[in-house]
Amino acid sequence: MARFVLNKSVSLPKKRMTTTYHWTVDYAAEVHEGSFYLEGREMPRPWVDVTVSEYVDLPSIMGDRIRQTKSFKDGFVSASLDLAQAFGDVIDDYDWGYESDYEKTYRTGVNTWQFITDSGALRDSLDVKTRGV
Amino acid sequence: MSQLLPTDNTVLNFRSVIATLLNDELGTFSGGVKAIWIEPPSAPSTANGLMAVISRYSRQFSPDLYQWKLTLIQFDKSDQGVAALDRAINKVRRRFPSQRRDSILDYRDESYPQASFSIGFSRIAYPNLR
Repeated sequence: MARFVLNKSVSLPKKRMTTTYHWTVDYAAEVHEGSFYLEGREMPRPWVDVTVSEYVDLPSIMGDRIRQTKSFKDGFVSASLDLAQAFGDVIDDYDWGYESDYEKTYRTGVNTWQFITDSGALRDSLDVKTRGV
Repeated sequence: MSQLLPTDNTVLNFRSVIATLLNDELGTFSGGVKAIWIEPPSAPSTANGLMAVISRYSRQFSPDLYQWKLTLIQFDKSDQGVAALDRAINKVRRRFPSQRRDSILDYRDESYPQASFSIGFSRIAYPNLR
């Protein structure tokens, strides 16, 4: 549970702050949602949902960052970047438990289907835009 | 804005809402059963026409916010099939106007047209649930 302690040094933001995360590779949605191909199926690997629901406690992180920076705007930006980092970690390391039926390995130890990252192109295509700060 | 399901947040309830909503668009499995599936166990790899796949477990984002996942796959790539998928997408969007994330996959020759929805609900709407 995040508890916000306000003091005079913290000014409330006047407009809404948003951060948009966009993975620009064209197969991002297919990986996230899975896809039914004529030849078979690729299971979904929803790294966004997993990160937000299992990996990070956003209200706590937001509260911590705002306390550390003593600013809603700086804290928001800082927490947004924490989340971006967490997305990358889940893409790299989360084991989805799907057995791969073929070996498409670009990076040692990465078996496509079980993890997401092989070339890292998806992970590195993340574009973060913060507005209202 | 809180969205409401008829009584509670079980997967069977969400399934029945979808089955009613998409009654005219959904296809059938072999044997004539309505093509709507709760996963796991794994969904069949094909159906006649439009198939709806619902994740058995909702995803919990915070103590009061959870999310159901719905995927629509159209195995009939004819004009009529694509039109039925269109109608189904519009119906889902109208029924769940808020807290919804859509992923309409790019059309490719080697895959079937597919739309995924993550639909959020607030537990505050169900004061009687624990």
